[in-house]
Amino acid sequence: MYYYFILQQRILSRKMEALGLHPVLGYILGVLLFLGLSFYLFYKTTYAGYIYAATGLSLVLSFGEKERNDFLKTTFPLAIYRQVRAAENGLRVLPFVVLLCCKTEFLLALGLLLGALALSLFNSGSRLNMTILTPFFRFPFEFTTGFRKYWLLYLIAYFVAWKAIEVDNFNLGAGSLAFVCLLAMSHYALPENDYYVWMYNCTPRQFLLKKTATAWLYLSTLTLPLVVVLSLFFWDKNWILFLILGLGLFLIGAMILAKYSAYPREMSLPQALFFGLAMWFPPLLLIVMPLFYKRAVQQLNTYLQ
Amino acid sequence: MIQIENLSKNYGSKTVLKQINFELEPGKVYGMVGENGAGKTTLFKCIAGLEPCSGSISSPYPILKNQLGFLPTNPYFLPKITGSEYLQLLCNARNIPLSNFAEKNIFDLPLSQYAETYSTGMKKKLALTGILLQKNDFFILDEPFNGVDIQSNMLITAIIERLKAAQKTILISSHIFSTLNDTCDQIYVLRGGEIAQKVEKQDFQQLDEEMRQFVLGDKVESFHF
Repeated sequence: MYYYFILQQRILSRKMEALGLHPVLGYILGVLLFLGLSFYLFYKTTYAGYIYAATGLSLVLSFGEKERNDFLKTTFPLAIYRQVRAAENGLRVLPFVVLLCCKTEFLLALGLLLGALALSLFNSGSRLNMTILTPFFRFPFEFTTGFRKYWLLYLIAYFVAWKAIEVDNFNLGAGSLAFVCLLAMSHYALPENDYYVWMYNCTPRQFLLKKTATAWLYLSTLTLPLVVVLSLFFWDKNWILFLILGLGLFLIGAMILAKYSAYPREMSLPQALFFGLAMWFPPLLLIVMPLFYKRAVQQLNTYLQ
Repeated sequence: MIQIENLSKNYGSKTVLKQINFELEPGKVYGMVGENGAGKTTLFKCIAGLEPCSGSISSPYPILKNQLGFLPTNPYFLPKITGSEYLQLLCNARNIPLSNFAEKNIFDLPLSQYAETYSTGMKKKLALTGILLQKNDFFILDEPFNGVDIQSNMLITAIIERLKAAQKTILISSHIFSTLNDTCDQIYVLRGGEIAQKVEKQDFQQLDEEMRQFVLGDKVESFHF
């Protein structure tokens, strides 16, 4: 079991190296980023504890993936397998638990830890092996896959928006809309197998247009109900909602360009940092996007021409 | 006609394919045989344009890959995508206006289930259905019979015959010699990254015997059963 965790640490270090980052620097940056985002969250909203606990639990869910667990079950005796699952779930939520304790949210911290340990007893998809319906079947791939992976998070975002109307909190509603946009963007974060680019019968420009048009259509499908309902209840601030939607559409287009500018590799750390900076200050995207586009066309040419 | 001239491929200092030359005519089925690691899959990927290589590939099409249906040895399926969504994705990619796949489902696949949950043989059949729907002119089928049941084997053989009759060009690799014997007009033997032999249909039995001798020799005797 000890060797298993050594291997996990090696895999993490290799991933950082693949991103062009020295592992030691990576760990330091990771801790600083985690602390920075955590304090920012607690500074910004009174619901931070709940958001924090939900985030911790959602991170643990990925450990329940069926194939991964089948491998672990065939590798370790059952008792050790249970220990591995409990240990990795516990370790993953530990930073969240510690920070919740620092914020004197002891009950939430305990709930999170117990929830994570309880989740180690279940595998995702092992019992509920049914096809989740999506409205994204006509142009499948990113949104179809993403929606089925994160449908629970989408549901939570819709629930939060409903609560925002109930408690008359516009910021909460706007936040849920922004969250849906960010979640949709995450569907484009990783590069797909090269067969799924190679098979297209079009130029790189047409390919990027197709991808962007589909992303815009499907992001609008997901967000318009939120925008319309929130607009009805917060009529005087509806321009902010449309601004968030517009920014979301703009950013998802930029995300597609950024992804294919590094294709077939994942975005390198400098690229990701540059993109993150541009997200923080969107006008920067006007400079970055032509560069990403040019590079994406070059990268896609290898597969499409 | 598709012409492959002086195709070579290196991975660093290791040469995987050396000066490969051959031609593929419409309405013919070509077999490619060789041991594991002989370079068959790499050669197929080079022809498809999925691997960079040196040499030239000429064809009557402006972009060969747009007319190519490539069935990889282990088709990769995106997570959480159903069989019918996979077919839809492949049709969309080639601008084929098709959305009802029920009558095209000749292998009786459970199209509403996630493709990643299919068995090896079902995955192969789904990938094959996909490239058939794309109406390609040229097919590269890497181990199409691998992991597939006998009934589907017969169906795939019949499909290849139909494709041949429709003047399509087909290049197949298989470790099951009898399937090549049934379907191919010519077989190329790839050994050490080179085309070692080109065999016509009338000499297939002799090739089978030669390969048996070459592969088996007295290796099994060393076990002393």
